[in-house]
Amino acid sequence: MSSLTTSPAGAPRATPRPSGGGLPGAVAAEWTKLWSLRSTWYFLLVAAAVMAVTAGCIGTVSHDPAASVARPATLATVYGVEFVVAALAMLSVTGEYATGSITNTLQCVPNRARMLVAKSITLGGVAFGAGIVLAAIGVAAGGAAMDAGVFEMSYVAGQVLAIAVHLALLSVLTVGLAAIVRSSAGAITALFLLLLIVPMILQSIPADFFTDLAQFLPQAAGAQFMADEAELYGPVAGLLILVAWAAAFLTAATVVLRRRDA
Amino acid sequence: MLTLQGLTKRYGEKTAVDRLTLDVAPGKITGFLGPNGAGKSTTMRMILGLDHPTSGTALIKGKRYADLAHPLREVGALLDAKAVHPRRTAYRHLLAMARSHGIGAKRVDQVLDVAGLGEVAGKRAGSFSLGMGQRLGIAGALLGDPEVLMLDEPVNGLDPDGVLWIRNFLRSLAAEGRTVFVSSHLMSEMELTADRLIVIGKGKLIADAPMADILSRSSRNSVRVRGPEAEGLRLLADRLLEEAADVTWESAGELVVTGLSVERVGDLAHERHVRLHELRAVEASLEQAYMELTAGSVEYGQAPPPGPGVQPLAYGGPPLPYGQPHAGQGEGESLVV
Ligand SMILES: Nc1ncnc2c1ncn2[C@@H]1O[C@H](COP(=O)(O)OP(=O)(O)O)[C@@H](O)[C@H]1O
Ligand SMILES: [Mg+2]
Repeated sequence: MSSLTTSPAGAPRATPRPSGGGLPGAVAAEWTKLWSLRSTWYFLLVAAAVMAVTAGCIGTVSHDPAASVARPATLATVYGVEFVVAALAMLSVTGEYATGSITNTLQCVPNRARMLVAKSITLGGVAFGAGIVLAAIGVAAGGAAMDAGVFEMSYVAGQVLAIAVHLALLSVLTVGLAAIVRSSAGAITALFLLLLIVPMILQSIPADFFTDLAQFLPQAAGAQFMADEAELYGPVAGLLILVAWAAAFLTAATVVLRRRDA
Repeated sequence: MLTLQGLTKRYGEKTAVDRLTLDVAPGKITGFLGPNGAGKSTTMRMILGLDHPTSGTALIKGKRYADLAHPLREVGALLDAKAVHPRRTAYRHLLAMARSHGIGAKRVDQVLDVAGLGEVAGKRAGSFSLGMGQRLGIAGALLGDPEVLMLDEPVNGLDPDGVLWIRNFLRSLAAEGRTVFVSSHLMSEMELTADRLIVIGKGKLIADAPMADILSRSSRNSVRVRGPEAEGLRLLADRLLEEAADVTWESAGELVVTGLSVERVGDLAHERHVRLHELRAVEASLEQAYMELTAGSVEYGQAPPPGPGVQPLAYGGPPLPYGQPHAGQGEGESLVV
């Protein structure tokens, strides 16, 4: 290697001493890939529109004078926005499988855990940053539509932060889930099952055990985390349960990717 | 450099790669030749850790690909030119790869120029022709200035210009002391590029030898003899065997003789008063040698046992097409097996 001083056509060699790479490199690569697709912007714009419209509608039908102005934004996140943000996270994985570019990704970052963590950091980070903006849009749209509501700065700020954290964790969960499933259609189905269908089925079973079980699924945990008032187990437990779900999916995805042929 | 030890990959009942043991030496172009479905791509995917071997190992400088700290600086690989996100520009695609290794954007411009893609760097990869896609793949392979380059059928689907470009390019890379491992199912292509040849069929190693060896063995001429009198031909065959020639019956009226010159065969036929309708020297091309090598593995269940050195190029398959001109005359003339 050291005897080589030029690459073909006389181009100087890249760097004499290998540096860079690792997890920071993997994150930088994921960041570059994410923002080099126009669809990323479309997803965020759609998320903003969904937030504005849904929070606005919820605000219009909210007539509880004691409700926080952040409440419509929270509900809009759980019932609409989170699916758009999760879809972006999903495509960062399933899009690579669909185009075959996953082999290129794994050539650059062969360590499966590092690749998944890099995607999680990138998509989670973007979801968090976008989440702050989206939540602010939701508070503005929802608050304006409400005929009466409580605006308490520190509380609203906390809600905005909670929405952003919720979207970030859901994105990480989705990265893991998408890596296990690989196809977009399959991942969307699995995500809807996990977030909506399974909780509905569990709650329809007339037994306390199943109704309680539904409360520990990601969707309910996220809602608890962002809730106005502590219901079953409160926001802190809700956050921890959501973190556990995201970690579980990421770990499962790492195990699956290590075993499976790319 | 690249070391495969008993590398095996099974898909259910099917064995795609079968106990492959070989070394790819540095500073050379090693051709990896085999008919479609022989297991070339699977082997390369296992070297890159994309597919897991059922058994055996594939190591790069003694390490598994996944354990390399800076894999792109060690191995540049082009597997599937279409495996690029079609809506990402060539530049961004390479930039993302570069950033994964802390390689600067300047190097991206360099490899784009080297690959002749400077003009279209801002175009989406999905709009690229197959040839441009191959160039983009090569640009990516060069990004880390790696010592080992591994290319899977890089000339597939290229026009003659593109083929020539790749050929010269691989030569310049090897001339710089790099290890080039390039697969093809075209013997004619390998004959022009490779210094060393590894031939596989049905996942098994068939031959592993310097190109010169394979050439010298395969270039021995044979003589085709055709006549209307079967009895006379049998007499001639007996006489030829006395001269220690190899005689193969193509049909009742046709012999293929190896080990004697066409003049000598003609003289012997004259001596025995055998009537001939055809007496022709057939120069076995490398392409033909390749077909002989792989014939067993394509047509029958049994391939010659793997082993070091060249296997004798004895003819064991079905009738071969008549001798072709020495392969590699025409740029685009390649025999697809
Ligand atoms: N994922 C797979 N599942 C099942 N069989 C496969 C798979 N990949 C390759 N094969 C089979 O393994 C054999 C070798 O394929 P491949 O490595 O692509 O050959 P080559 O590159 O030499 O044309 C083929 O018979 C192919 O059908
Ligand atoms: Mg192949």
